[in-house]
Amino acid sequence: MSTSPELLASPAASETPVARPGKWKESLPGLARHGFLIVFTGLTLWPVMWVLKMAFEPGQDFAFSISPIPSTISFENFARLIGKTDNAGNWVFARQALNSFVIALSSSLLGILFAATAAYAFSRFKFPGRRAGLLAFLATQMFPGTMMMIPLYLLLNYLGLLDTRLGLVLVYSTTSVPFSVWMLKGYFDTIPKELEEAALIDGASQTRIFWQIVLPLSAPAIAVTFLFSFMSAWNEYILAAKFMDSELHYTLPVVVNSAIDAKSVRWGDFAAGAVFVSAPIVALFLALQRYIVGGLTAGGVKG
Amino acid sequence: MLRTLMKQLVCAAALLLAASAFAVEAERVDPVEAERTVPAAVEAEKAGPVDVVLWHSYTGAEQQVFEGAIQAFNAARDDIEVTALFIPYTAFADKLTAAIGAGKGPDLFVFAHDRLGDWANWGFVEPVQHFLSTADVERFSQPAIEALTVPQGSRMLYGLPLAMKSVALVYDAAKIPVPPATLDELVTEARELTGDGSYGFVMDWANTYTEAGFLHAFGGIVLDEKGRPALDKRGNAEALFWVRKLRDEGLLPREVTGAMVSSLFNDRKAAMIVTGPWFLGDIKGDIDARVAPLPAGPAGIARPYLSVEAVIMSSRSRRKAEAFEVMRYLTSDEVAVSRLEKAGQPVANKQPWKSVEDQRLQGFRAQAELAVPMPSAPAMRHVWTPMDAAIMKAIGQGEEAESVLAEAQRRVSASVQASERTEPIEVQAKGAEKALEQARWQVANPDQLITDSRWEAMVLTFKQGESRLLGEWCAEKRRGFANAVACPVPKALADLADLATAKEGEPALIWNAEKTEVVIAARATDGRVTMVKGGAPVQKNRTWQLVLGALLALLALLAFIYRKQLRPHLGAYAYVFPAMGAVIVLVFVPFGYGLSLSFYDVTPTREAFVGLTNFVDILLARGAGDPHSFYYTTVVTVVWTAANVFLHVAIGLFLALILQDPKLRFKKVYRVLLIIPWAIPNYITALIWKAMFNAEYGLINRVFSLGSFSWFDSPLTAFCANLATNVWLGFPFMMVTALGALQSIPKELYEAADVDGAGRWTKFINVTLPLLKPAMIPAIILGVIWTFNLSFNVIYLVSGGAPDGATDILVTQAFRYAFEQYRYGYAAAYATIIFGILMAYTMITNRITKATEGAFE
Amino acid sequence: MAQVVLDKLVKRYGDAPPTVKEVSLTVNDGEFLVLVGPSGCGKSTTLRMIAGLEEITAGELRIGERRVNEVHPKDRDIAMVFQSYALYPHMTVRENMAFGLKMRGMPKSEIDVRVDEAAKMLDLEHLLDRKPKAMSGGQRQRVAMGRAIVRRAPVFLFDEPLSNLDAKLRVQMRAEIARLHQKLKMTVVYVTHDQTEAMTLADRIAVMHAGILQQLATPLELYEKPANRFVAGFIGSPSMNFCEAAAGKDGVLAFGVRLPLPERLGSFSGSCVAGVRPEHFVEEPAEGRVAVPVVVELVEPLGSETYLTCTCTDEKATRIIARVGPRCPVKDGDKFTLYVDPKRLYLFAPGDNGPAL
Repeated sequence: MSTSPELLASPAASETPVARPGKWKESLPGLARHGFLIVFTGLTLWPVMWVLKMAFEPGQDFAFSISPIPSTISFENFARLIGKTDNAGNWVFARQALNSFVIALSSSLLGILFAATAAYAFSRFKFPGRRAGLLAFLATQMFPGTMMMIPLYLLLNYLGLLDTRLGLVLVYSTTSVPFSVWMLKGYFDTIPKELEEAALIDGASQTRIFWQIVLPLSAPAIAVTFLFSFMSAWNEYILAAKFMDSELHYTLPVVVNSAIDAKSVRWGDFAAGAVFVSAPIVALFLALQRYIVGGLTAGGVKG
Repeated sequence: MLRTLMKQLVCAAALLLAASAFAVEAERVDPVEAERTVPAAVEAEKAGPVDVVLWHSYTGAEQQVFEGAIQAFNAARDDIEVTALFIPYTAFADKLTAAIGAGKGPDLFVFAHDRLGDWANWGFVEPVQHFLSTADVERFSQPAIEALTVPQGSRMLYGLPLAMKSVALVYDAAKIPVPPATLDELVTEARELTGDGSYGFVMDWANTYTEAGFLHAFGGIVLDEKGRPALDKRGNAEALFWVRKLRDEGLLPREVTGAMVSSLFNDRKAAMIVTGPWFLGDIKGDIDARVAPLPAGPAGIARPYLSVEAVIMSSRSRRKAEAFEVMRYLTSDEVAVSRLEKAGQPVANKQPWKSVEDQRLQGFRAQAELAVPMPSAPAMRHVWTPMDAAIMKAIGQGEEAESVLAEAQRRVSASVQASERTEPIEVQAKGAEKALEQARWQVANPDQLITDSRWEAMVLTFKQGESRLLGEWCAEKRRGFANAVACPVPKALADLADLATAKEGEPALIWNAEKTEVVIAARATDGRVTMVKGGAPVQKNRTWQLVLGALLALLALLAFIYRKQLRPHLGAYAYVFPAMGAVIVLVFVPFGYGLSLSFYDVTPTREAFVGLTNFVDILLARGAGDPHSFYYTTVVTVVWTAANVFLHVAIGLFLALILQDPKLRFKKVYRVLLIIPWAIPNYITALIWKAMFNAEYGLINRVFSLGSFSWFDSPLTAFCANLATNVWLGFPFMMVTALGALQSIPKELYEAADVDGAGRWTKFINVTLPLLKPAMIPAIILGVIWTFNLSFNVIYLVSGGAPDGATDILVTQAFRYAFEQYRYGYAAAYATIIFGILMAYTMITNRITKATEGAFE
Repeated sequence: MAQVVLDKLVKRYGDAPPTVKEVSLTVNDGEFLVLVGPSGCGKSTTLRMIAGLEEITAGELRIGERRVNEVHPKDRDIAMVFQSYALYPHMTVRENMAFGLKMRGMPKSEIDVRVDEAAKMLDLEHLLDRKPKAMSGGQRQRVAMGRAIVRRAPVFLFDEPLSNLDAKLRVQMRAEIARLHQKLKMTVVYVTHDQTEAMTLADRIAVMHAGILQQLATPLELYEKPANRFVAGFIGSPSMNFCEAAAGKDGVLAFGVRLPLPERLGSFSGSCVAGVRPEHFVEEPAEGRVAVPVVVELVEPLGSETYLTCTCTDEKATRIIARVGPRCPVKDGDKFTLYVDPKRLYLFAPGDNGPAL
């Protein structure tokens, strides 16, 4: 695939305008397509609507009726979730939401910083150990997570980082680095070397080239990588539950899971919690969706 | 240029150093050592209140009452301050084991008694009988105290009971005026009331816990008095057969869950159910529900399992006396009264019941008094899954009960045996010598205590001839000992008979079962017997540190040798350093540690080097006696991965092809809606889908009119349920990748194909597919790895591996070994093999496709 | 002083045979030197070595009397225009042009002065705030040049800058580059594969082939006195007609006729390669011209002239192209007679690239 500036400059280059003046009737195959899409989308979203329904219906039972529309709308589940305060009067929910947010944000930013520099090196420089390094990063994807839980616990304990936000941030950012390196490297590979050569002749140092030329041009890929890192940190449950020792340090997924008892699930609380945990990610997805399409490909295409 | 690079390196290094220095927030002090250095530290000497940490997983009304009681305590006393921490039930046991194993954790925790056997064995929990008087103990119901006594019949009491729960018969008095006293009566009543979607009698027949009462009613038993498995006892088969007949006759629903039992009762569709006190809060107000003991069977009354919830003390606590105060308070009669009245907790105290008039509560209590404590022996851990499986087969699938139980018995026995492997630790010999030395010295100097950080030295001196049990001596003497930490005395010393053989002046060595503790008894000439109890130093796994150190040294050496060639690349290394450094510390090091564990046989307190035994066990399909060997599970995993990736790609590609047509309206809307599944955390998704596939009230069955088809009965359908869930989760990723890839195919190629006369299908095969490859192949490879490793949540939560582990994949199996059977070494070996498989896979596909060659260029 | 001296420059990648083999030439101060040759001849590599984008394997490079082999590109006092323009897509035209100056710490006021000046020179004033993606190829080209101009570097390097433009634009831009050179009088090293560009723009041309410098001379010299067969065939469009020939006392036998040998080669005999340019096969007979009978195969009228593709009467039926007048009355398949002046005959040693005799 050519790397001409045209293709680079617009991440969603083939977003051709949809509406054509005067085209009212869709051809029959078109209608069939819409029909299929509507049905499929409905099916896909059905479980989601269900969760919403259980969140808005009062009570803790698993909703029985098939319809995804709640029979009565009540905010009591949400209110109970949000209003939780502990004995000392701390607004627990706010602290937990804040924890989630701070941890997810810090770990994705840190992860991107680490990954971008490494990906740039892998993309642009040839140095001994390059292949080994790439392979090593890929290998980390293959470590079964279960094996890591206890060693990580012990390691964080040793470093004195248990029950701290910093501990979780470090763990999350490190686990997101390999995948981010993979994606960003792919994207960096598609930036033409000539741009950097011109900058070299212009007198820019390597660092400047990285920060002022390569990074701004990689905005789509960085957006997508950020999204993935944020999402996995935000959703992570088991490590957060294990490493944190006080309720004020918990994150939102821990709250959601507290609705699961030994015998049963309190569906109202669970659904409300699920809504809180999922909504920001969905919103982020919506905001960054055009980058998702562009950014992923650029990471994958080796043209 | 070089100078700037050096500057960058230095800055990066400095930053990292600063960060790590900053990060150290707590002193790293071995708690056991801390105690050693401060004699008489048991009574707190710090100014201010002592902080006692308590962990629980109470929710709802129980939580309110509990925490309210704690608040009252804190308000009333200014010398002790209790900090309560709620931990979700799903993470409780793991977190506890990890924390206590690492020397941290709470002072007290609230949990069911069933793991006490293990915990006592590992030395995690503290016996409290020496804090109590006889009157104290009598406050509680006998079965509750029995449940907390480990081993059975001894004097070691590990906690104070809060509540005792067992299932009982809950019936709708409107339909059943008099509860049945025998099983035959039960069946008769049930027959009358069953029909038209209503049942006379409903119980969750699919799990061992509920079934236990009936097993006992037929004379069956799960563990014998010695704590060995006895699944093949005659009565068990008869009981299972009886339940199966009920189900076959339609008197019991085809598939049940606990939630369903409750809702049927509330919907007035079940006249009698078997359930526990947790249901009381959920009974619909207008139903006249009453509680009676389970009916008697041919071999006697039905004794269901008693589950006792207790406040238990961690052996690592540094404030045991204070913790006990809290324990005593929480189980006091006053607090029990409010727990009973306000939260409906069936408390284990006797006193509060005297004023209770609620029939239901009394009904449960009556049953509890007749119940049998659920065995907490370590063997019990191995029983649940095989027994559940046997029940499912015998009742759900109509297989012959006896053979199924015999098979289960075999499995459990093998599993128990495997986990009890007790190879002598090599250090035994050394440890024994040291112990002897200590003993001799101690005997000569009884008033001076040996302090050694690895030995819990404790001296007991008593007169020979006094036949009190050692435990009591332990208690008495303990109060005077400044640094007595833990007092579990090995069972072998429970009576003095062993000591009688100790010759004068000659120490006798007595080891505990795990070979982690030795007691040396030495008898002095005046008849006094002095004992020194010590722990054999736990052989810590140091291999990984050695290997790591060696690797680092090697790297450093190489870097030094090649420093001239490496110098021009310093810039590149500076760029890679932060990421690589972080990954090495936080990913490779733990991985290396985990990897090294696979050469050991590991329990929470002991590590024994076993070389390649774990691997051999796995690969020769031995070990743990599960019917689904490594190879079966591998096949399942491969099929699972292939099916998933195929469906993800097919569906994703199909949708992408439809959506990429620029003429399609609302394209963006569809696209956005279709990626929503991706945004939802997968454990939430898994639980929702699990509920949707439920046989009785699940959406799937109702929408597709499948009646009460139970998805999780057969491997194939359970597999499909898992598959549906994971495909729902995974197709958006492939769809988005395909969309992007499709957009980058130049239009001219399609136009050229048009001119050549190609039809849509030909164009697809000859233009689209080949040009998609470069983008899709890396995505597919990644998808394979992710599905292999990360679909853990889906399988674990949706089918739970049902039936009987048939839908487990490699990662869930590894998890079970680690966290359900606490065989970390075995699980580590498993995980290592998984890793090896994936690595091999990547290498091979790399060679074949060469598509990711570009990624490595 | 902005003289560029290449002294036996060699470029080798790993163990492969060298891409550039001991190229030596001197570009005088203010001279417009064109490096020309077919794809893969090493001209771009040589240019990149001058720029500092490729490491020099052996030999010395001097810019303005200073040895610059190890000097960083930004310190070599050069400016470069790339084939694909290499404009920073996320910056405006103004920012693109200002970037290099910013890197050198020039104050903003000075930068603005230079940018405006260059914009005026290149007719870019109305485009200063646009981004590259909103501009046509020609405009982008000019921005690339503008970026080089503002640096006021004594040496300009051009790497096939016109290859991405259509024919008409190419002609236009060629003229602009020439005008620019006249005005600014910088030393230029210009790489192209198009010999027309080379001929029209260059003060001197360096013809390269397979990594070796074939001939370094003015355009006219290259045309009239090619050093070897390759240069002869490369310069001139359509290219020179070649024919295997045998020389003897009576002259040389080529193109099916006997032609008298040029005087300086009087005593030469043996096999060789004869060459005559298409424009020297003419329709009109004249004193001294030798008649060459041919059969016309293809007639291509161009308006101002006509190209005839013909076959000669020799055994091999050598094909030749002749440039004749616009109204030549021939059709395909006609027998025709062309005339050639023996003074226009070139002889080369046999073999692929025999030197001129």
